[in-house]
Amino acid sequence: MERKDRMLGAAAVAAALLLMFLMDVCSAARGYVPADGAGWNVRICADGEVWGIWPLDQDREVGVRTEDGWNKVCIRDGSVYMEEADCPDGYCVRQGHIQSGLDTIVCLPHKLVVEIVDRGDGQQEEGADVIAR
Amino acid sequence: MSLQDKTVRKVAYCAMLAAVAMIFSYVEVLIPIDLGIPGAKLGIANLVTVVGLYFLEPGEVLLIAAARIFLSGFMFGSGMSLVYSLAGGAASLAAMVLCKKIKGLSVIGVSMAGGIFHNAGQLVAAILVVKDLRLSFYGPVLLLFGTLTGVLIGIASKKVLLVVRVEGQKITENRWI
Ligand SMILES: [Zn+2]
Repeated sequence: MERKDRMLGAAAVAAALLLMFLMDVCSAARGYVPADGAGWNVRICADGEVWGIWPLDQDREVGVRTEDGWNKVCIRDGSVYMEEADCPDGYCVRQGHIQSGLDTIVCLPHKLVVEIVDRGDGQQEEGADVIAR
Repeated sequence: MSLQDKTVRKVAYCAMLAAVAMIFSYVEVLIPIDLGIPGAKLGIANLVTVVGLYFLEPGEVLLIAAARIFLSGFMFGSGMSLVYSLAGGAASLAAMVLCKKIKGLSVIGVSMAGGIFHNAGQLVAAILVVKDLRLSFYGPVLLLFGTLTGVLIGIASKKVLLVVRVEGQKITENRWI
């Protein structure tokens, strides 16, 4: 590896670490999510449109069926995870639990994004065609 | 060697490299490197693009990469995966062609730039597809990962380039890699 290669590598790593640090600062500025999720919401967006919003501190399962496919989102004990999906890659299920204010679960094939948002970001429950147990 | 012979050789090289790239793509489908990050993969097939850049014209490398992406997209891909592969492949190739012109940047640095821009292209495509800017939060992780895979592919490419002979002559005899 030549000197310029090392410089490029170092610059890339430094930029990544700096961005990670800035994201942490951003996240802290928005306030930390308590362990039980009180005061925060789970927002599911499909194809760029809000599909529904639910409180993070209430356990439930949400089935999302779009023309792209089927996903089952679970809210439990102040965290969210994708329990099942019929997408070809299955990345969304393997992404596991999220519980911080900047985390997202993405199902790229289904154009689905699950995110944790401040309760101020949306109060109303507007989930259509939703299975909530 | 006549012009016709040269053309035949070029076509043969391109077809051979495209075939090797297809096999690498298939290997990657068989053994997916799962990091839980959408779109992150090792990109073993990119090795062919990196190696090709050092003894073919950029246009020929573009042809090989395009053939590989379309063929493997139709054969092993699903849904939108072709779009991500195209975005990643185009960004990566453009970055590598430009970086190769920088004096003092070896094949490892060129491949590093390719890895970084491959992930950047895929991320931008993903943001456009799901229409959610929040995906940019995957940027730093993908940047780190792209750098790492770029270095690995670069080291492998260097090993290949050191032994490969084109028309009986070692590539490294008349150019710096
Ligand atoms: Zn999925």
